[in-house]
Amino acid sequence: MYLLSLVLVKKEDIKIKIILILLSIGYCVIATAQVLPTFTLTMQDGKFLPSDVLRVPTGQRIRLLVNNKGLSAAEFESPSLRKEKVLAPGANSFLIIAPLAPGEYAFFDDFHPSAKGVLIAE
Amino acid sequence: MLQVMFIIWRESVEALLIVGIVYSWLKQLDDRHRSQGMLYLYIGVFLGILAAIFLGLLLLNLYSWFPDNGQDYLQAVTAFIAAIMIVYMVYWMRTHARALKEEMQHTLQKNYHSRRWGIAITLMTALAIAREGSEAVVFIYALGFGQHGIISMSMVLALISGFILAALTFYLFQIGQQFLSWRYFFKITEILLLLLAAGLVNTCVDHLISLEILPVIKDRIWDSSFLLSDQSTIGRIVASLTGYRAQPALMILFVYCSYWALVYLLFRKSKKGIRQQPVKNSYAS
Repeated sequence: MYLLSLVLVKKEDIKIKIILILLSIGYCVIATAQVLPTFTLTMQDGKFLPSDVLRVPTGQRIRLLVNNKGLSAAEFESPSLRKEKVLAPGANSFLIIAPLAPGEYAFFDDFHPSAKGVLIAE
Repeated sequence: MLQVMFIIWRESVEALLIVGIVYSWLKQLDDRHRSQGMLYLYIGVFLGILAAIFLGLLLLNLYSWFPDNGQDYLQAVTAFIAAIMIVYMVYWMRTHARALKEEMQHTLQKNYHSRRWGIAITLMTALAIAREGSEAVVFIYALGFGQHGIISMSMVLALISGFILAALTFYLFQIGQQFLSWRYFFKITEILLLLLAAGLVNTCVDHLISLEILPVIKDRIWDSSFLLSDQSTIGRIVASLTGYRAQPALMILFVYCSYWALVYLLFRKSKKGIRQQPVKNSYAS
């Protein structure tokens, strides 16, 4: 939200920009510090581990830890979850997924076209 | 990476056209001035490219400043800025392109007799190239090029093939002036650019929804996956080139329609302006 207002701030106000960036970083830290239902997904050279089916609860924010144990870069991508995340070999990261309605949400590894998975919100 | 290739193609063609205008003006000078002027032209091209590369490196580093969840903000903002820049660029080209060649030649002619004519050539070229170059850098960055600090081989390939395509296009238009018209080149790429900007607007909205800044209103208004899934290779290309979603949220639909309504209003106005001054498209001839 703070970063959104960055667009409205003129180029000259660098100080305001820096404050806004710091504020938004702070906001992210607070937002992610809350205890959220957490799920883990590992990517390894075109495979999703432990399984390519993830079952998550509906109606609440969830945290998805993604890591890349493969030797090649991977990209977790899902248009229906509105998420994309590139991971270098060995990298760890996480995604905060907004509350979902019940249903199936497909995801895939953009760097390994054969790797497909589905997240089931129920 | 088709969208990256398209941006590099179009921006390089613009840059080549500008270099071409200066080049053809220099060609009609006497030998001494011509070779001198060519040198200034090359320096200008070099400086312009340098400026664009500098901006690119800056953007590549920007990503590492943000924590994991902050990258969504960064992507939303860059997509939004790039979309506005593309629409503005198309608008500007529509209203200014026709006079560009005369203006440039006029500036060159005016400075010809001053002692600083070399600097004028260098500066003019450098600024023009830097402008096209930094536009290209911002656009492809917003489209995902190197956004995660990783540049894959296919992206580099898209970059190179985009430029080669531009050189070929420029060459073809130079030798086939009777059959090919720059006007159509600009008309067609204009539409593609506006579609691409629509895609960027949707990317921005998706990020904002996923950050819970914007509501979905209602998710999955329809499901056209059976016609064209946005998981497939073709579907993803179409998605990034046009903003297509197989399962659009109502919010996306609303913003997408508003975007086209705004573009329509903006360009209806500019069309009226153009009709009042029926000058031949000189940038293109």
